Amino acid sequence: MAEEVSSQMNSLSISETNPSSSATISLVSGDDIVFKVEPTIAKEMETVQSFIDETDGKITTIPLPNISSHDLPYVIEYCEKSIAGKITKEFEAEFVKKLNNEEVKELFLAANYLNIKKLLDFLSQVIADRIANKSVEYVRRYFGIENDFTPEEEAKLREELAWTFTGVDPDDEDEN
Amino acid sequence: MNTVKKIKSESTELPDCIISYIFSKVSLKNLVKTSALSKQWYLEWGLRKDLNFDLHNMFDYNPITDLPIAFPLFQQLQSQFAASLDNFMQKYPGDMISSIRVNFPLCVDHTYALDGLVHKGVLKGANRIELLLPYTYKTDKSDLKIRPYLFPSLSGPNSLTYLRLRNCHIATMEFSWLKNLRTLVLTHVPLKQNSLPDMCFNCIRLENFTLNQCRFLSDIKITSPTLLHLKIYCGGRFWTNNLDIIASNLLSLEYSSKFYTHIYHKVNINSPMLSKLTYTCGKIFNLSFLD
Repeated sequence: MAEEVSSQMNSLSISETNPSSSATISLVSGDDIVFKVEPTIAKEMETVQSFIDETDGKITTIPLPNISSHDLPYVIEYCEKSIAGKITKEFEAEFVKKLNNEEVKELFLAANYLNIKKLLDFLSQVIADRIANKSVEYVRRYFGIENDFTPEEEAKLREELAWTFTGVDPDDEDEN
Repeated sequence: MNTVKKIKSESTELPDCIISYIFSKVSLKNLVKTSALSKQWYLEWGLRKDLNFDLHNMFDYNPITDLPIAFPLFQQLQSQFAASLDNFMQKYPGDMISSIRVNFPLCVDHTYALDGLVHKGVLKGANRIELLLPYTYKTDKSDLKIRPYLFPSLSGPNSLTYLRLRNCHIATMEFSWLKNLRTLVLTHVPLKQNSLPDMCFNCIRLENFTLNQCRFLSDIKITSPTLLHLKIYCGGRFWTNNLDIIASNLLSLEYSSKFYTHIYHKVNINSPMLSKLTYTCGKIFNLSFLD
């Protein structure tokens, strides 16, 4: 499966490559899958770009141990659209439709590691929208927050701000 | 696939600063809910300094969804909104507020909540206050006139530089509390005899002034040496008041009226710096520029 994605990415980058242009950049995911991308795409990823700059462009294979081959194609797709100036509301809606909440979080961590500001901003809003109307328990689990209130403290707090705890959606499909 | 799993388990939690950033983007209702997460997050919602109370923020309604048109349902929603707003302000843990905005059909019946909001907002240093209370509300039976809230006089110092009121009455004839204002926008705010000159006299830093469909009980006299931009929309109201503008630094003036005939009032403008004048009206009978 992972190799399939990789070969897809290769064909994608070849089809969009100007044949005479300089070498592509190879991004190596944590599970050792190579993704070839245009240098312009690497520019969107500040972490990758600074790595290239530091080595004067001599090194074009960049290991990204924190990013899996599942997340990297999404990141690349977003960067490609961003360069093409084709980030629209429709694209963004379509883009996240495929991702469940856990995947959004992983992608967020990938974008954070690669330091892609636009993607980070977009995903923060996606997460904000997705935790809206969720139960406190769900949000705790989602962010890995440990409840350190005593049951009495929590009950008192919920009573004091009762209106915010109403109308909560049932916890959804992302439960593992 | 094993490697992927391993990567995941190493770093699947978002750092606190990012969680905090995400919380800065949720609606007020969801924000307050974060106080129940853990002790660390208990006071986090006090970091929100721009408080925007509207349907989406307070009830998580989709912004496109309309308010209910059945009157009892509407009334219930109104009371619920006011009670939640009041509860929010009473429990709000932040030290500082930058701006408060209400965009919801509250009326004089909800004075307790609105007074609390205004006083606490001002006490915590708010620069901007916007109370956008609609003038009418469409129900299934008829258009309901919303009985206006009485905006209180603020005693003590305040940092208000921006005030926008819609369908409010102003409780006082004494306007020294407006002395820091740069922008004042009044829509459907009736102004009593002499209150406009007094207001202008006290707003010693006023630069932008908009009067939108306000009712005047006397001639309109606007005298302000600091004023840069003035907009007056008469809307559907029929005016017979004369309009006198003495503003030595005024750069732009927009004036419009829905009535295209029978404008009886005189308009005198004494503003040597004026470079942009928009006058939308049927006939101009008595427009004069004094220099």
